[in-house]
Amino acid sequence: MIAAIPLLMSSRESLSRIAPAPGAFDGLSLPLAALAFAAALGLAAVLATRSAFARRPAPTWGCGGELTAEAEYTATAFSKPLMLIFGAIYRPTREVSTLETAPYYAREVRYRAEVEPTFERFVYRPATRGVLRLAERMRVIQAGSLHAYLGYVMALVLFLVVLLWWRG
Amino acid sequence: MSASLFPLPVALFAVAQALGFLLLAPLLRGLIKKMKAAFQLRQGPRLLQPYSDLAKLLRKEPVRSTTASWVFVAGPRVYFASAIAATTLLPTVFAAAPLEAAGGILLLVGLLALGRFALATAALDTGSPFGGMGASREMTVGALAEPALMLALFTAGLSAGSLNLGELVRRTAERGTSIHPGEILAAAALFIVLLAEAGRVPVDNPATHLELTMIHEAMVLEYSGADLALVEWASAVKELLFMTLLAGLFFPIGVATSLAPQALAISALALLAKVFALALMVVLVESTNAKLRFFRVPELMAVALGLGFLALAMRFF
Repeated sequence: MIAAIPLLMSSRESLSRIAPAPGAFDGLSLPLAALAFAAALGLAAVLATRSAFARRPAPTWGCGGELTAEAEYTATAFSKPLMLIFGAIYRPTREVSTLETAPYYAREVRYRAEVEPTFERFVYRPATRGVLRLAERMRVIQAGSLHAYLGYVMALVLFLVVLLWWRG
Repeated sequence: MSASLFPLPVALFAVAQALGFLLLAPLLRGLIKKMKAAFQLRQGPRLLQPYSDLAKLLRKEPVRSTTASWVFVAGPRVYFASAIAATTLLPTVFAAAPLEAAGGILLLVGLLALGRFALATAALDTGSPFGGMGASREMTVGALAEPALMLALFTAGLSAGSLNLGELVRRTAERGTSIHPGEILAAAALFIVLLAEAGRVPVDNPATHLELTMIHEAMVLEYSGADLALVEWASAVKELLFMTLLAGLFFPIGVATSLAPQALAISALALLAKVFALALMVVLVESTNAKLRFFRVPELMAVALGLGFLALAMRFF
């Protein structure tokens, strides 16, 4: 950092130039950010050169047991914490019913999970319903006679001419 | 990019700051460990142990899962790069950030989110249930901590009239020692976010190896060698970054506004003292609290969010 100070002092105006214009609430220069990110990525690649060339493949650790596809974390499991935390909004329902039981274990279960589409129901659906209803109303003037439309255009032009004449 | 827009000194400043973060971050980790050990009447590892650990890990041959793809390889690199790139956005010793023109608060939060996303997808890539569990928990904590972080930063941004971190620190430093009560709340909110983002005790335990209680450590369980070194190093940088951010935005006493060597020396010492004080606070919290049950963490985050909301609301009165 000390090495950069004399250079900075020699070009203070350049430092003021890189700052966003005074009074600006926020400035964003994605090329510059991408450049910084790419440089840092390069540093990471250099630091981990060893790992890029020398690597030993091994099976994924499965807690001592054999790791099968069933043990993989599913999307449902992944989002479960958020589902529980925001349970008041999502109102998740979960239903597990055992279909067949062998002597000790359930052999076949049916699982059903559902999430209440809160935002869909209370935000998006009223909005789309409103727009659709408005569109329904407007269809009356959509599918009319061509002559009437020409009449409307004529009336509009006349109205604008009169307006211009009256105001100017 | 034209030369006039991106002058050499700025590039050097950015590189110097990033290197400064890289060099000092392991020391912070060591310091926290040492202080924690002192609290428990243990001797603890050497202060410089994290450097040795990193050097060892960087030399070691990494073991990679046979089911891992390029996502797994990219994870630590993107995480590391996002943390390093984020360090160039905030002012440290001098009241200007090297890459101030690149962006402010929003870019900072975005970069950190990108790193988290990369690491979480990489954790899912191996198919290990622990990786998935860690990733799921990390994303949950992240989703809860991020709004609190944004609110705290916006509070600071509103008082300064800018979302640019350099501009923010300059205006706060100009204003002198007067502190708006809202800022105290915002600082408290940011401190809670710091605990969550750094994986500290009430939220996560960085020292544990009990699989079922870990968050961050579970996510990076499959990493070894140089890959793990990148993750560990980036996490340390992130912790130092949050402490510098907290110190710079809410306690800007001593920040150099000119390039006079004397002012810079005082500012550097003040920054070290502030980071030390924050580290001590983290140690106090870690030593006197038990880790929260995972589903109690949202309550802590709600406190941070509430503090952030109050702080923001107070700005308008």
